Amino acid sequence: MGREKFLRNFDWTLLATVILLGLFGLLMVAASTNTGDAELREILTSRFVFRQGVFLLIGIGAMVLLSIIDYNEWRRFIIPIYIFTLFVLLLVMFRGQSGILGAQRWIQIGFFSFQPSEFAKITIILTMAVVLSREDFSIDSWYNLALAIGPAVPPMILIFMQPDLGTSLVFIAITIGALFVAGIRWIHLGILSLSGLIGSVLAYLFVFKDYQQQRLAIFLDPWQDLQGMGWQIIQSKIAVGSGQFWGRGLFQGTQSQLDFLPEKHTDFIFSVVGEELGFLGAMALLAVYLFMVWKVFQVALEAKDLFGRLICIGVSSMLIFQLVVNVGMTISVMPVTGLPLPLISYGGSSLLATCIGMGLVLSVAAHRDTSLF
Amino acid sequence: MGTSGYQGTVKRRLLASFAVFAFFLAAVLGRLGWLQFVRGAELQGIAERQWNTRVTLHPQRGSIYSRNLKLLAGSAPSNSVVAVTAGVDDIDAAARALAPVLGLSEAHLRQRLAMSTREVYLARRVDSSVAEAVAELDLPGIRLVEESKRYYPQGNLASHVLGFVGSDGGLEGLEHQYEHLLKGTSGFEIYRTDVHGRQIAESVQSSMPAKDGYNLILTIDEMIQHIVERELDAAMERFAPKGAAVIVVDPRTGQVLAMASRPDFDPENFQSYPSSSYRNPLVSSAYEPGSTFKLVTLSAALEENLLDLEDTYHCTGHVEVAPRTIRCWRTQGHGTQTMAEVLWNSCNPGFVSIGMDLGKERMMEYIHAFGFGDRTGIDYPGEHRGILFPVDTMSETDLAVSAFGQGNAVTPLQQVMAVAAIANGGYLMKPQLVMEVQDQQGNTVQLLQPDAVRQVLSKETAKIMANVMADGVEYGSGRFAMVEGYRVAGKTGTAEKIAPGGGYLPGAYILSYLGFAPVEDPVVAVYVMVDEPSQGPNWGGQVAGPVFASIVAEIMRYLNIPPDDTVSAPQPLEQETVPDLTGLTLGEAQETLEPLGFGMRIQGDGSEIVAQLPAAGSEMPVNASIMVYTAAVSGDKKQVMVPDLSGLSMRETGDLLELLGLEFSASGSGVANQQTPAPGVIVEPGSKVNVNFVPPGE
Repeated sequence: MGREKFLRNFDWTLLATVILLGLFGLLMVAASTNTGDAELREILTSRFVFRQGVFLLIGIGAMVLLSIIDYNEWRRFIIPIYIFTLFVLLLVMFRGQSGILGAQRWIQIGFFSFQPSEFAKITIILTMAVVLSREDFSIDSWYNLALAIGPAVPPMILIFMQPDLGTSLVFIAITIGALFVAGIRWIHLGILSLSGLIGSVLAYLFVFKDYQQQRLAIFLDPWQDLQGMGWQIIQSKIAVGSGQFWGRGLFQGTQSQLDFLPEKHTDFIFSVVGEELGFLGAMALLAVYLFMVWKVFQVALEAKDLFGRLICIGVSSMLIFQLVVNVGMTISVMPVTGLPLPLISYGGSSLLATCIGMGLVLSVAAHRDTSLF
Repeated sequence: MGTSGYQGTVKRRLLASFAVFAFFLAAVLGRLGWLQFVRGAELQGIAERQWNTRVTLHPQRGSIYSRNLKLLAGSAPSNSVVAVTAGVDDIDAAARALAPVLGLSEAHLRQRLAMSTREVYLARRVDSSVAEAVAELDLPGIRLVEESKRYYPQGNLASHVLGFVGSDGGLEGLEHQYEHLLKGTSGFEIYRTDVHGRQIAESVQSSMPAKDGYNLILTIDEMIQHIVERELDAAMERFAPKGAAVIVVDPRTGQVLAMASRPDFDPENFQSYPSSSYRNPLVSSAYEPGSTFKLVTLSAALEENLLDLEDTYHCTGHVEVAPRTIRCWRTQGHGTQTMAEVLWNSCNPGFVSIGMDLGKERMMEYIHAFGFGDRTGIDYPGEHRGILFPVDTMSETDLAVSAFGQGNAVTPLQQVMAVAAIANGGYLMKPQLVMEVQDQQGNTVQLLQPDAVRQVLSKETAKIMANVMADGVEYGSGRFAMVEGYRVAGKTGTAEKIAPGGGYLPGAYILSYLGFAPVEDPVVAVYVMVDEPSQGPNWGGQVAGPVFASIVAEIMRYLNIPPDDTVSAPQPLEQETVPDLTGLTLGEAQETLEPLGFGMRIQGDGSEIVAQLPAAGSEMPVNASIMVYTAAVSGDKKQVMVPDLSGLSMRETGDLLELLGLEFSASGSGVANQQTPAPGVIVEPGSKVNVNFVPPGE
């Protein structure tokens, strides 16, 4: 493929949208870490913004690099990638660092701690795309369906056991998205959904940890735990609501600036958007997201092969699920699951993983067969 | 499945996925709209409530000044320690740190800090050293709030007038009465705090400064108050009574110039005094006034033209008012007297007669007109209205006793206002304690003008009454209240205390003196009350009279009232030594006494004087009369005529009987009213005379 053709096919708009959202995220991280007394505020802001900025640069670099490499190259490395991912997830399980509520999600590499589960999502997107796009593979039988789903299960269980329910649910979203687009039969989809539902109830009753059960219970009635988890649900709702139409102004949100809102630069960053930029800002952000996801679907539609389409649907499923669950959590329509808002929430691993996913999508776009037009 | 068909399925399903996403996004947007439009204002209100902290700013309480602008009650800024409970993150640590500084127990502080109210006062009005120590601790959620602390630079002076202030405002006296003007209005300050209760710098959202209270300028004259308090202390020392009280009003305006009572208290440390000492009997106590009430009866009769002062009345010592017999305090009666003498002698049957002439309706009409039975409307809390006979059910006896001051209960304030009306040409004034209300800048907020309630007597009647009262001081029972250089109007009163179960408490008297000065142009009306003196004389004139006289004399000097030279008669007279008259004949005695200026009263029908009172050698005013006793049978000193002892004190009785060589057996206390053998009976020397003493009338 020639350089000229690559540049012509490259989706500059999508790249610009991703960078725009990343920069917007940087701004919101600055706004949401702008608390405490003046001196401390500057240090905090600069440290958080600097770190996030570094990851954004690395992410853009990775994205561009991945877009240049033909995505089909990854087919050959899928098994080592998959095994490496499982290995790192196991490493986290035994050697990882504890975060909130005793969950082990991070692993230290040099100066940075990574969250392997974020990257595992990309691995599964690729793995499923590889399995489902094989010429000789069709998911019209239960056996083949099991083969397709199979690779997603081990990392999902490992992540669920960290425990990180939210991220493990992202795997289900990715799997369903890929299966759906790959042409799963409706009857299979129906049965899978039903058993998934029954499985969730059983999981809730027998597998879920107390705090996970509590989160769901508190989601239904946040006032029962005002000092604990109900607090952030209520404070987030207050924050979003008090933004009203125009918002309180950037850096002017009292819920975030006065520390009423916990986890405001990570999981609850959308509450800050809602409070400081109002309905207008929140709507604009969601519109940009919609546009970005639409671009990803466009790439999928114009992709030269099923593998490319499945990468796109995997990435967009991940984005859609996280977006809806995260935003839903801040406005009390979803339980608190600790999922970051892609490209906006503070957190290097999530930002980098999203950029990698978008890099793959850009590669699909850049390497499409132009003769179709 | 063909490749193209499969491609179609993929594309359709891609679009369907996007549609699902768009649907979710629309739902999210809807929810956002609900929260941000519909519930936006409500949620913003919640947000504001949780980050805005409101603290109360306390006003400074207004000051109280005397009419001479001397500070009587002031406020100094001081700090209170307040916990903003939401901001206290570690109750145990805070309690531990504060306990030694505030001198409170840790457990108590922990309990206070754990309260669910937003603001908890841990210690009010602490010393500045404590405030500094608290400020130094700099504990989260613990603040200092300025609150004013009351102080009284004159100590106990006018304590009953001022009252005192508790932690939540004025509790007694004017501090209570004018609470609404003195306290001012609280302000507030709303500032932002973060979730930990820390105040955000320069984050005052809104504030309203506290509005300091108004200052009061009283009608009380600080100098007159001092005079009154000093004389009260002297009276307490001299008579050791249960209590004593004085009120001085300006009869022309009704302004109270001084008001004091004993026992008193220090308003700054009122907690260390029994609550009984807070009571101001001048306003809050009603009791039978006794003889001072005769002024009402006499003025009513004069106003109604029922009598002239020159009319006469014959007192036999008792009068029948079915079904009772009312006795005069002087058992043997006063004989024939003018109406003026009826007043001076305080003759009860005389007043019964006047009362009967007035009749129930007119009697009660005047009693009411003088302000009895109603609150005077003084700007002072706890005023008693008094208890009067209801006119339609009162009996003849009720009318009779009312005429000389029994049966009805009235307050000292009502009495002084009634006599002030006589002094003020018949106009009854409304008493007042506050003259002016000023703001902190000294601007007048309110001027309280004197207020005439009604005209009770004509100017002429008032004038006549003033003069007859003044004459009473000069010639009658009021003589202990004579003031050098000033013509003073006055009347004694002896009120018997009513026992809780009805009837009178034996030996329990409230001795009073009521009057005004100078008679020609009165500037003060004064009421003096001494409650159950336990030593010294036990008679209204002798106890309350001199206190009245001292107070009036000092006030006259202070007010620069020129002495009236034309009425020098009541001045204390020259003293002369009483000569020894024993052994002389009556003629000889007369010749001896006349040049000295003494008069002579004779008891017994003998010709030779066997005893005299006062004894030879004592100093007496030159117009006094010397009582001489003659032997029943001239020359035979073996027989003695029993003298008339009535009205003599126990000491005088003892002295006289000893001179006559008679034995003495006393019962009761007060003044002699009954004796056996009766006066005039001839007995052997050494015979025993039984004398019964009763508490004095007038």
